[in-house]
Amino acid sequence: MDEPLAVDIDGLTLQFAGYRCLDVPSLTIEQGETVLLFGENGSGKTTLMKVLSGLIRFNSGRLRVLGHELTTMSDRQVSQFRADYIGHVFQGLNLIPYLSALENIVLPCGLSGIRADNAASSGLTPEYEAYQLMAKLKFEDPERLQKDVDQLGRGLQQRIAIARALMGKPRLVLADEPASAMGSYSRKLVYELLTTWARENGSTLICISHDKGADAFFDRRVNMKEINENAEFNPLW
Amino acid sequence: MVILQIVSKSLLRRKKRVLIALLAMSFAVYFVLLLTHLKAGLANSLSRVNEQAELIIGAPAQPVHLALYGLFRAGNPPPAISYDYVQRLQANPEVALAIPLSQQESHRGHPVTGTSEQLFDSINTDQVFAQGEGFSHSHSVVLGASFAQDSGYLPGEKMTIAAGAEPTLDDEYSEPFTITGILAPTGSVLDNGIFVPITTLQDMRSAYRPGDGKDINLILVKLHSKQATLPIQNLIKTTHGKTLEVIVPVQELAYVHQLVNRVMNVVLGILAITMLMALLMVFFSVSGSLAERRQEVQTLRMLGARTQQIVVIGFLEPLMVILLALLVGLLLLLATVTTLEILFPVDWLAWMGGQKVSVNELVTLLVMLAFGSLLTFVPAWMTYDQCMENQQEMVSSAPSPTKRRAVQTVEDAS
Repeated sequence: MDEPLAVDIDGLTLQFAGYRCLDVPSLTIEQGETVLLFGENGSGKTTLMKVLSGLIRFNSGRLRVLGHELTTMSDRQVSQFRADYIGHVFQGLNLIPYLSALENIVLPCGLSGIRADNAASSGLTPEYEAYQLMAKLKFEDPERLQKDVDQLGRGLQQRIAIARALMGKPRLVLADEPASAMGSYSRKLVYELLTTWARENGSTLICISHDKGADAFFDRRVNMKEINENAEFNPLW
Repeated sequence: MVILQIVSKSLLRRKKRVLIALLAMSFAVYFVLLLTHLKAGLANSLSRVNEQAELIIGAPAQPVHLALYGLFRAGNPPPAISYDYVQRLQANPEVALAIPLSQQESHRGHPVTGTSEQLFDSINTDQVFAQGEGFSHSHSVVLGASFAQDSGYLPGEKMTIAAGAEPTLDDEYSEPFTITGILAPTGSVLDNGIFVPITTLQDMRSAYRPGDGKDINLILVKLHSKQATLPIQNLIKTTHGKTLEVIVPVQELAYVHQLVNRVMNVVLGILAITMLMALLMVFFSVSGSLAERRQEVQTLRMLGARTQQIVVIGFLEPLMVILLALLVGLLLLLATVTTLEILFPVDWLAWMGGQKVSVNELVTLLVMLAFGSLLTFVPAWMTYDQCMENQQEMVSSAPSPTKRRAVQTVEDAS
């Protein structure tokens, strides 16, 4: 039997305050694909990401993510689906300031049994998997992971946010400008890690980036202008 | 587990604010519990001593004074009355016991009570004497349980008694008394007493100071039937109204109880307001941080936390503070009661007695918990509301029609 598509959109529209901000007639992404999503500011990249993770309910059309019809699921089911299968790297990092770096990384395992089982299936504790992920991100000082995240530098926080998204092997990783606060070497490292990790684990990666240097790492590039009929260039944003 | 971790870490992060709220609330809880304890203890104590006598007779004085002295030995002994009244009362068929009380002597600073064997007959417990017996001879002395324990006196030992509360060597009576019995604990003022036969005392007083000594301070009267209380009171008032005051201690103590209760209720009211302020402090220390935590709620939702889990965070934080405050308040109460029992064993037990924590305090704790929980629903509801608003905010990052129109104008102008 064929694997369901990671993302299958058919005639999706989203309106807010009377304005149609998303109008995506069709988009399909295969499972295991690594996709670079780019476009001008205000073209709906971040909004599309939030729709894909079920954080925003759309108005019309059909959306299937990893074979799950999000429209027919209750809020509770969507939250559980998000916890179980989706890893997020946010543009604003969104780390919990009073948890330590390590506690932030393993947080998804506390919210999802599937993510915790995935971490345990490789014979590792979530904490050990966190150390491994951080090592792949060229951070090998476990002592500093015990500190509260707001005591750490922005670059390190970004790596922590990436490690949290990959924790417990989610089947879909949504990364919104994951390397925006990094230098060119670290940026390259992040894209390489994300794409390599996705390929190794058979996960789908959708990554928003304006970085031209990132193109080479991804299987496919998707321009928002081509998929969102309402994507327009806006000099103010 | 992860929710508990988030809640406890979040509280730790705001530990100063939380600690102040916790302290304020713990002390409010402590004072409410202490007052409830005192109120219940006083009510218990009054109902216990009410059994001691249906009537108290003394020289004309404040009725409340007679009641407090007769049942608690509180205050100075009332002026003397003639011992003859005892004999006259005993002749009345309605009177079961007429117990004289006279306090004019002491033993090493402890007041000695001259009384009759009927005092021991009035004790309404299964075992009256822990050791020995009552006044088996004219120079018997019977000790209360606490006094015997503190002094170490044993039956068979001799004691001297002297006239007055602060006697010199010359005031000591020449004939010693022999301890014949030790009372079992009663939880009343009897536990701290030294009792000798009034008739012997009267003889000794006459020998010590001729022409003096027949008088007593009070008579406790127990009747065969409580129905006869008011008729006997009226009879005594009619026949000896000018020389005697006769009171029904239940009524006087009820009056005292009512007065004390009124004061305690006012204090409880003030404490309830303090408590409310402390609860509001907890509420604001949590809800204030809700605004700071807008992003945190958003993050948790993106990570897949269900709405209920986020609401539980809003609910658990203040609830943990409230539970901790109730526990600290309760522990402070236990520590206070235990300290008072150690420092003032007799006085405290006579007035309070009973358990360290009674049903009253537990009910008060439950009421405070219920009220606090109700109040914690507010921040929880605000968190829930925030979750609901979140969806709107997420879309609002998309371009709005107003912004779009502004852009259009800029483009047209260029």
